[in-house]
Amino acid sequence: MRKILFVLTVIFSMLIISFAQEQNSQNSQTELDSEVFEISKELRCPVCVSESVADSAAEVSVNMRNKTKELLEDGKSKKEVLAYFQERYGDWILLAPPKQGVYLLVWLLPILAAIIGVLILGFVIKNWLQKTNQEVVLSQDDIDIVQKALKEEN
Amino acid sequence: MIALGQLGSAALYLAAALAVYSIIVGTIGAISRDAKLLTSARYSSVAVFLAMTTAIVTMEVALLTSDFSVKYVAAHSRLANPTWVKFVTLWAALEGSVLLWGWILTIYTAILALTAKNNILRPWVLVVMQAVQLFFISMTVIAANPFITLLKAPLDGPGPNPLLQNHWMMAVHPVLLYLGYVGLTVPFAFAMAALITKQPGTEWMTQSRRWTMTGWAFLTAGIVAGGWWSYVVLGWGGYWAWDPVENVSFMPWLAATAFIHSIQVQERRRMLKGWNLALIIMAFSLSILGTFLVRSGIISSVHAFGDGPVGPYLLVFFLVLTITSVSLAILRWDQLKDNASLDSALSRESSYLALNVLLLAMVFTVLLGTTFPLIVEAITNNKVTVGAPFFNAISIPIWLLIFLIMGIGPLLPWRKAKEQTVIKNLGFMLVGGFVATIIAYFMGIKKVYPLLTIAIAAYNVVSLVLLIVGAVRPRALATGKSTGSVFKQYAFENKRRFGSMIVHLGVIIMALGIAGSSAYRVDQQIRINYGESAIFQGYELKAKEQFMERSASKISAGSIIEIWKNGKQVSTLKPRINTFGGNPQTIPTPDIYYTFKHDLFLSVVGEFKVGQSYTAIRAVISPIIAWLWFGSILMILGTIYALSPNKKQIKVKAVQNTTENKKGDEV
Amino acid sequence: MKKLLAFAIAFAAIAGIAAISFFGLDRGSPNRDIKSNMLGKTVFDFELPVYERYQNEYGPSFKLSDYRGKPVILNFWATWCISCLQEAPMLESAWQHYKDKALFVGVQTLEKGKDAAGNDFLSRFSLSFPSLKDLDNNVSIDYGIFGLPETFFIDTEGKLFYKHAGPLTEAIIAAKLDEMLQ
Repeated sequence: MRKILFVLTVIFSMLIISFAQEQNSQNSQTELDSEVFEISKELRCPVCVSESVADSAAEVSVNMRNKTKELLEDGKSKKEVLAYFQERYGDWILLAPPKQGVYLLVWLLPILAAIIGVLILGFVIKNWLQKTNQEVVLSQDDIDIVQKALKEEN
Repeated sequence: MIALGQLGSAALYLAAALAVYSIIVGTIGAISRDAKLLTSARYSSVAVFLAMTTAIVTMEVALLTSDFSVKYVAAHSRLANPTWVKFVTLWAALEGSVLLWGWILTIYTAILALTAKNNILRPWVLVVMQAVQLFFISMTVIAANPFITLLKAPLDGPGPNPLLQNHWMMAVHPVLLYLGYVGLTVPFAFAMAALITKQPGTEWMTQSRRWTMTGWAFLTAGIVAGGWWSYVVLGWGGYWAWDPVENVSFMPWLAATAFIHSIQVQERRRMLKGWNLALIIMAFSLSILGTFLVRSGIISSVHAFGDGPVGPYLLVFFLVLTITSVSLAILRWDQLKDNASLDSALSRESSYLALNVLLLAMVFTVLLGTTFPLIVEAITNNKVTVGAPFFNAISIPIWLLIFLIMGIGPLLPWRKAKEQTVIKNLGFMLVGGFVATIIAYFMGIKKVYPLLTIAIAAYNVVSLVLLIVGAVRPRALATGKSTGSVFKQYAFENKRRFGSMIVHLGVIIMALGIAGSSAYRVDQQIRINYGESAIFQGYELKAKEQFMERSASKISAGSIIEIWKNGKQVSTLKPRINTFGGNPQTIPTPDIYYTFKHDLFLSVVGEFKVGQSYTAIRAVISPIIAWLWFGSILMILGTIYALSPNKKQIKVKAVQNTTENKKGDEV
Repeated sequence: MKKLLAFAIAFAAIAGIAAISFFGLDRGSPNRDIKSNMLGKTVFDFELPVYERYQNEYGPSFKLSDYRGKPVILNFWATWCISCLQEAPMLESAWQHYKDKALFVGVQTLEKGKDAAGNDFLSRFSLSFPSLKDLDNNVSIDYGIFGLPETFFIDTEGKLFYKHAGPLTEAIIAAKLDEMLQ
């Protein structure tokens, strides 16, 4: 147990050290910084088939990244940058649909589905628990399972 | 001498005819229980395989000898291409990949015909496999015949899509994926056979378990290979973009993952009969639906093959498939009922149920997100995009919940867990997660999701340790053997269980890799004059010069960049732009310096002109991204381990069984 | 009851998937005809360099807002765009036709530094209406260009009246001009 703990601690520390990068060391040669790519990941390249502005090598994507940088330098926030492009290209340009109107469906339905799933789960478990309380008769199946389990399990 | 195109077409027609024959004979034989007819159906399955093999060999010969009288070769191959590219051009476009898919199906069917246990299920399993197979073969014949012969053969062709020839991984990824999809066909066929023969017990799933696991492993490998391909080929240093083509391979994977967990409840407790059937029907039909969505071209995807007659064909197959299987399940409703009951909400059973719910919520999210632009357009005529930020926002919380259950589930015994034990175990795990989070926080990780991932990973690792300790320690105490030897014995004798632990460990490592490489990614565009250098995240990038490499099939132009660290040169990277002859498209191709700690990824951006005095590169540091690949390899190895038979083990077990049986009798 | 419910759900799901799939097949591959947010609003102004051949008439640079009072038909093109090649002769003949009613302006975009090729394009179709160079693709971003060609019909007050994605026909130009001048 101690050995295991030791190995775990070593692996874990290595992991942490790897995570902790020096952040944002910029110099004069840096044309675009992480923030620009972060934001352009949320924009869809207008002329590509299905790529984000951050991922695409298309000419207009290069220009849009530069534009993003300019807007950030003007003191615009991420929200404002996204709104800038949304104004020009429409909702289509946003890789995450705005949370309004008919687009709300795509945001709410998965959450709704998960909630309904959990409710059904709760209902089913409750139902099956009650069943058990009523009948406590061992079937041949059960006995088989127990014996099989005894053989296999530890 | 007959032309290759005609030979290939003939082989396809023969395969289709044999498949029809096999279905008819197999069905009549199964109904009338005529052994001769059934044998004939089995051997005709082998004949279908041979006919399809002829077709595929013909196509390979046509590709390798650049026979441009065959339309597929003319449209997708090129004289100057290296042999391996010519070879894999078979699956670089629609017609060829459908042919490959069909061929893999015939391999599986032939193996089943020859090796499946001779019982009431077998004839129907083969009929279902043949039906699916007939669908693919007839699709190649009718909607996507690769053997159409051109009257005027061109002298050369344009070659396959440049993105696909850019890396050998592309040779592997589709094949793995098809092996996975086809692997899911087998349990589906068994499930259908079970419904038809009114045997919805556990027989069908125990018999198809190996196939299911193999299919799942191939699907996993195929998806990861696709991610690896994106990483090394596309110029942005990512591996997963939630592109529809990725999503549609992910959906059957999720459903199959739910299935392989959920069937254990049926094996142990004879419950969830109907549910498990529903899951495998879902997994298989999702693989067809997904293929339809991306191959019909109705959804924008980077890798869509464009529209064609294949779309309607696949949709019809999807509808026939789902309607038939659901109707069959209605007919057998009474047999599918089981006396489901639970002794406690705190049990292995309920953890699997919860996992089912979460994985299906995930399937629903991916399906909804992928088709949502279509839905919105149908309703409002507006155009909208659903991409990575949406999927990440919804799926990360679901995954964290899945990991929560993944940790506690395996520690819960079947039937009923002792509350005290659960609380004790959970205590250890939560303390592990909490301590890890605190350490991580003070070591500088302040972002929420990475912290949560670290917490949940530590929680899961503690769970795995508890599982092993729980299994090994009592034995060691009882037998007086050393812990090490007991552990070895345990791992050796419980391959399925130990294999699953390896898979889970792989999942945890992957999750860490994903969290680290996305949350702490540093992504910059840097401009360096040749002869000068730039500092990026502790590395000195020295831009030496431009280079140009030419081969018969491609031209590469790029920058030679030396990577220095602490005054020592550690690597030389050559990010480049590739142009494949015959195609004007330029493909920026990255170069990567791999380390255990992080990868340094360089890719040329913007304009690249010969004689330019500077180079503009995109430099990306992805922390612990290697963990992602390592974790996925563990997942595959774990599955292989769980599936591996071992002669020694069987002997040992036989001896033990006799002694344990005695014990069992005493109890 | 449970049986009914389970299969109602299953068939509803299949029917739903079928419905959107049929819609998709009917529609074909997604196009890029996306509604512009500028419709009915004043369009973004710009000032771009004019191709040398038109400089005598329009000066070295062209500012859109200087041309209020007459409808402007703003056509975005590039030399790599096949539809633009097909469209060009029609645009020239339409321009000859409607010169008095509207100003036609071409904007070469999404191909930085292809001036020579652009010039060849203009001489090849002897286009006599002015064409501009969108050097940093800024105008392409302002006008939300998704693909080429795209054409913007701007009314006398500088408001966007109609946006057309894909190749135009003379009939469309005639119809939209009529509507605009009413």
